[in-house]
Amino acid sequence: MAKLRFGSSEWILALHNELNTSQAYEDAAKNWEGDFYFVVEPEGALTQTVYLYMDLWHGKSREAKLVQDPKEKNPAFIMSGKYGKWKQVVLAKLDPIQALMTGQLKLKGNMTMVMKNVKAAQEIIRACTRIDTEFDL
Amino acid sequence: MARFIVIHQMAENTTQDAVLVARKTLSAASPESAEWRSSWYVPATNELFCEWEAPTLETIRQALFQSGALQFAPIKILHEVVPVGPKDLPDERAT
Repeated sequence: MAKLRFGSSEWILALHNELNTSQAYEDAAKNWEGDFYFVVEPEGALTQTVYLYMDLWHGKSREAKLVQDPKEKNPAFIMSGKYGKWKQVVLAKLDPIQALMTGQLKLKGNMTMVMKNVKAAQEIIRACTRIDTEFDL
Repeated sequence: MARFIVIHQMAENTTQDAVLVARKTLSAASPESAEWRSSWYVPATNELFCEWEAPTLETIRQALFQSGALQFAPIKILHEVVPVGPKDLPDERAT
Protein backbone atom coordinates (compact mmCIF):
# COMPACT_ATOMS: atom_id res chain seq x y z
CA MET A 1 0.00 0.00 0.00
CA ALA A 2 1.33 3.42 -1.00
CA LYS A 3 2.39 5.89 1.62
CA LEU A 4 0.09 8.83 2.24
CA ARG A 5 1.51 12.32 2.08
CA PHE A 6 1.09 14.22 5.36
CA GLY A 7 -1.47 17.00 4.99
CA SER A 8 -3.17 15.50 1.96
CA SER A 9 -6.86 14.78 1.58
CA GLU A 10 -6.11 11.04 1.66
CA TRP A 11 -4.08 11.39 4.84
CA ILE A 12 -6.77 13.19 6.85
CA LEU A 13 -9.34 10.67 5.62
CA ALA A 14 -7.06 7.85 6.79
CA LEU A 15 -6.87 9.47 10.22
CA HIS A 16 -10.66 9.79 10.25
CA ASN A 17 -10.96 6.05 9.52
CA GLU A 18 -8.32 5.13 12.09
CA LEU A 19 -10.14 7.07 14.80
CA ASN A 20 -13.51 5.58 13.90
CA THR A 21 -12.16 2.04 14.24
CA SER A 22 -10.24 2.67 17.46
CA GLN A 23 -11.92 1.50 20.64
CA ALA A 24 -9.13 3.14 22.65
CA TYR A 25 -9.90 6.51 21.04
CA GLU A 26 -13.64 6.08 21.50
CA ASP A 27 -13.12 5.41 25.22
CA ALA A 28 -10.61 8.22 25.73
CA ALA A 29 -12.65 10.83 23.86
CA LYS A 30 -16.15 9.80 24.95
CA ASN A 31 -16.79 13.23 26.50
CA TRP A 32 -15.09 15.29 23.80
CA GLU A 33 -17.14 17.80 21.82
CA GLY A 34 -15.40 20.13 19.42
CA ASP A 35 -14.11 20.53 15.91
CA PHE A 36 -10.60 21.52 14.86
CA TYR A 37 -8.57 23.14 12.21
CA PHE A 38 -5.10 21.66 12.22
CA VAL A 39 -3.12 24.34 10.42
CA VAL A 40 0.18 23.33 8.89
CA GLU A 41 2.30 26.41 8.22
CA PRO A 42 4.74 26.46 5.31
CA GLU A 43 8.24 25.23 5.87
CA GLY A 44 10.76 23.59 3.55
CA ALA A 45 9.09 22.21 0.44
CA LEU A 46 5.64 23.19 1.70
CA THR A 47 4.93 26.65 0.33
CA GLN A 48 1.23 27.04 1.17
CA THR A 49 -0.64 26.79 4.44
CA VAL A 50 -2.62 23.55 4.78
CA TYR A 51 -5.95 23.48 6.66
CA LEU A 52 -7.09 20.10 7.89
CA TYR A 53 -10.59 20.03 9.36
CA MET A 54 -11.79 17.41 11.84
CA ASP A 55 -15.13 17.31 13.62
CA LEU A 56 -14.57 15.18 16.71
CA TRP A 57 -17.62 14.27 18.74
CA HIS A 58 -17.96 11.81 21.62
CA GLY A 59 -15.22 9.44 20.53
CA LYS A 60 -15.94 9.53 16.83
CA SER A 61 -14.77 11.60 13.88
CA ARG A 62 -17.90 12.92 12.19
CA GLU A 63 -16.10 14.68 9.34
CA ALA A 64 -12.53 15.12 8.18
CA LYS A 65 -11.24 16.88 5.11
CA LEU A 66 -8.66 19.10 3.57
CA VAL A 67 -10.08 22.60 3.33
CA GLN A 68 -9.02 25.06 0.66
CA ASP A 69 -10.71 28.13 2.13
CA PRO A 70 -10.34 28.48 5.92
CA LYS A 71 -13.51 30.57 5.97
CA GLU A 72 -15.46 27.42 5.09
CA LYS A 73 -15.62 26.33 8.74
CA ASN A 74 -15.59 28.08 12.08
CA PRO A 75 -14.21 25.42 14.41
CA ALA A 76 -14.05 25.65 18.20
CA PHE A 77 -10.30 24.98 18.12
CA ILE A 78 -7.53 26.04 15.79
CA MET A 79 -4.19 24.37 16.35
CA SER A 80 -1.35 25.62 14.21
CA GLY A 81 2.35 25.13 13.78
CA LYS A 82 5.17 24.81 11.31
CA TYR A 83 5.37 21.70 9.16
CA GLY A 84 8.40 20.44 11.09
CA LYS A 85 6.59 20.64 14.43
CA TRP A 86 3.60 18.73 13.06
CA LYS A 87 5.95 16.11 11.69
CA GLN A 88 7.40 15.62 15.19
CA VAL A 89 3.88 15.35 16.65
CA VAL A 90 2.65 12.90 14.02
CA LEU A 91 5.73 10.73 14.53
CA ALA A 92 5.06 10.79 18.32
CA LYS A 93 8.37 12.55 18.94
CA LEU A 94 6.71 15.63 20.43
CA ASP A 95 3.83 15.41 22.90
CA PRO A 96 1.03 17.66 21.60
CA ILE A 97 -0.02 18.85 25.06
CA GLN A 98 3.57 19.70 25.94
CA ALA A 99 3.85 21.48 22.59
CA LEU A 100 0.80 23.58 23.47
CA MET A 101 1.98 24.43 26.96
CA THR A 102 5.36 25.53 25.65
CA GLY A 103 3.99 27.44 22.65
CA GLN A 104 5.58 25.16 20.05
CA LEU A 105 2.07 24.70 18.65
CA LYS A 106 -0.42 27.57 18.83
CA LEU A 107 -3.98 27.06 19.99
CA LYS A 108 -7.05 29.22 19.62
CA GLY A 109 -9.86 27.97 21.80
CA ASN A 110 -10.23 26.71 25.35
CA MET A 111 -6.85 25.27 26.24
CA THR A 112 -8.06 23.76 29.51
CA MET A 113 -10.52 21.59 27.61
CA VAL A 114 -7.74 20.27 25.38
CA MET A 115 -5.37 19.69 28.31
CA LYS A 116 -7.97 17.78 30.28
CA ASN A 117 -8.41 15.42 27.35
CA VAL A 118 -4.79 14.40 27.17
CA LYS A 119 -5.68 10.71 26.72
CA ALA A 120 -7.77 11.51 23.66
CA ALA A 121 -4.89 13.55 22.24
CA GLN A 122 -2.54 10.64 22.82
CA GLU A 123 -4.90 8.25 21.04
CA ILE A 124 -5.07 10.61 18.06
CA ILE A 125 -1.28 10.55 17.89
CA ARG A 126 -1.29 6.74 18.14
CA ALA A 127 -3.73 6.70 15.24
CA CYS A 128 -1.40 9.00 13.29
CA THR A 129 1.51 6.61 13.82
CA ARG A 130 -0.55 3.77 12.32
CA ILE A 131 -0.83 5.67 9.04
CA ASP A 132 2.02 4.98 6.67
CA THR A 133 2.97 8.61 6.16
CA GLU A 134 5.49 10.29 3.93
CA PHE A 135 6.73 13.80 4.60
CA ASP A 136 8.01 16.55 2.33
CA LEU A 137 10.49 17.76 4.93
CA MET B 1 17.46 27.66 49.39
CA ALA B 2 14.03 26.39 50.42
CA ARG B 3 11.87 24.34 48.08
CA PHE B 4 8.14 24.82 47.61
CA ILE B 5 5.27 23.08 45.88
CA VAL B 6 2.47 25.26 44.57
CA ILE B 7 -0.75 23.60 43.48
CA HIS B 8 -2.80 25.72 41.12
CA GLN B 9 -6.44 25.01 40.33
CA MET B 10 -6.66 25.86 36.64
CA ALA B 11 -9.66 27.79 35.38
CA GLU B 12 -12.12 25.83 33.26
CA ASN B 13 -11.59 28.22 30.36
CA THR B 14 -8.02 29.26 29.69
CA THR B 15 -6.42 30.48 26.51
CA GLN B 16 -2.93 29.57 25.42
CA ASP B 17 -2.12 33.26 24.98
CA ALA B 18 -2.90 33.96 28.65
CA VAL B 19 -0.71 31.06 29.77
CA LEU B 20 2.23 32.01 27.55
CA VAL B 21 2.07 35.70 28.48
CA ALA B 22 1.96 34.81 32.19
CA ARG B 23 4.91 32.48 31.80
CA LYS B 24 6.94 35.24 30.13
CA THR B 25 5.91 37.81 32.72
CA LEU B 26 6.66 35.37 35.51
CA SER B 27 10.29 35.15 34.45
CA ALA B 28 10.56 38.94 34.63
CA ALA B 29 8.56 39.21 37.86
CA SER B 30 10.55 36.57 39.72
CA PRO B 31 13.47 37.90 41.73
CA GLU B 32 16.80 36.28 40.91
CA SER B 33 16.58 34.36 44.16
CA ALA B 34 13.37 32.61 43.12
CA GLU B 35 13.37 29.91 40.47
CA TRP B 36 10.43 28.04 38.97
CA ARG B 37 11.97 24.59 38.45
CA SER B 38 9.31 22.41 36.85
CA SER B 39 5.58 21.71 36.59
CA TRP B 40 3.26 18.75 36.20
CA TYR B 41 -0.30 19.07 34.91
CA VAL B 42 -2.93 16.66 36.29
CA PRO B 43 -5.68 16.20 33.68
CA ALA B 44 -7.95 14.31 36.09
CA THR B 45 -8.23 17.25 38.50
CA ASN B 46 -7.20 20.15 36.23
CA GLU B 47 -4.46 21.07 38.68
CA LEU B 48 -0.94 22.25 38.00
CA PHE B 49 1.80 21.20 40.44
CA CYS B 50 4.78 23.55 40.34
CA GLU B 51 8.10 23.16 42.07
CA TRP B 52 9.92 26.31 43.15
CA GLU B 53 13.15 27.23 44.82
CA ALA B 54 12.91 30.54 46.69
CA PRO B 55 13.89 32.28 49.91
CA THR B 56 10.33 32.51 51.21
CA LEU B 57 6.80 31.49 50.41
CA GLU B 58 5.90 35.16 50.03
CA THR B 59 8.50 35.62 47.24
CA ILE B 60 6.66 33.08 45.12
CA ARG B 61 3.22 34.44 45.93
CA GLN B 62 4.36 37.93 44.91
CA ALA B 63 5.94 36.78 41.65
CA LEU B 64 2.81 34.82 40.70
CA PHE B 65 0.58 37.77 41.54
CA GLN B 66 2.62 40.17 39.39
CA SER B 67 2.68 37.74 36.44
CA GLY B 68 -1.10 37.63 36.14
CA ALA B 69 -1.05 33.83 36.38
CA LEU B 70 -3.38 33.82 39.36
CA GLN B 71 -6.23 35.04 37.17
CA PHE B 72 -6.49 31.66 35.47
CA ALA B 73 -4.44 29.54 37.87
CA PRO B 74 -5.23 30.57 41.46
CA ILE B 75 -3.20 29.00 44.23
CA LYS B 76 -4.94 26.11 45.93
CA ILE B 77 -2.04 25.01 48.13
CA LEU B 78 1.42 26.45 48.71
CA HIS B 79 3.74 24.45 50.95
CA GLU B 80 7.38 24.40 51.79
CA VAL B 81 8.61 20.89 51.05
CA VAL B 82 11.65 18.70 51.57
CA PRO B 83 12.83 17.02 48.39
CA VAL B 84 13.54 13.33 48.74
CA GLY B 85 14.64 11.18 45.82
CA PRO B 86 16.34 7.87 45.11
CA LYS B 87 19.74 9.52 45.28
CA ASP B 88 19.02 10.60 48.87
CA LEU B 89 18.47 7.03 50.01
CA PRO B 90 21.29 4.70 51.00
CA ASP B 91 22.50 2.54 48.12
CA GLU B 92 21.42 -0.96 49.15
CA ARG B 93 23.65 -2.50 46.49
CA ALA B 94 26.74 -1.03 48.18
CA THR B 95 26.22 -3.03 51.38
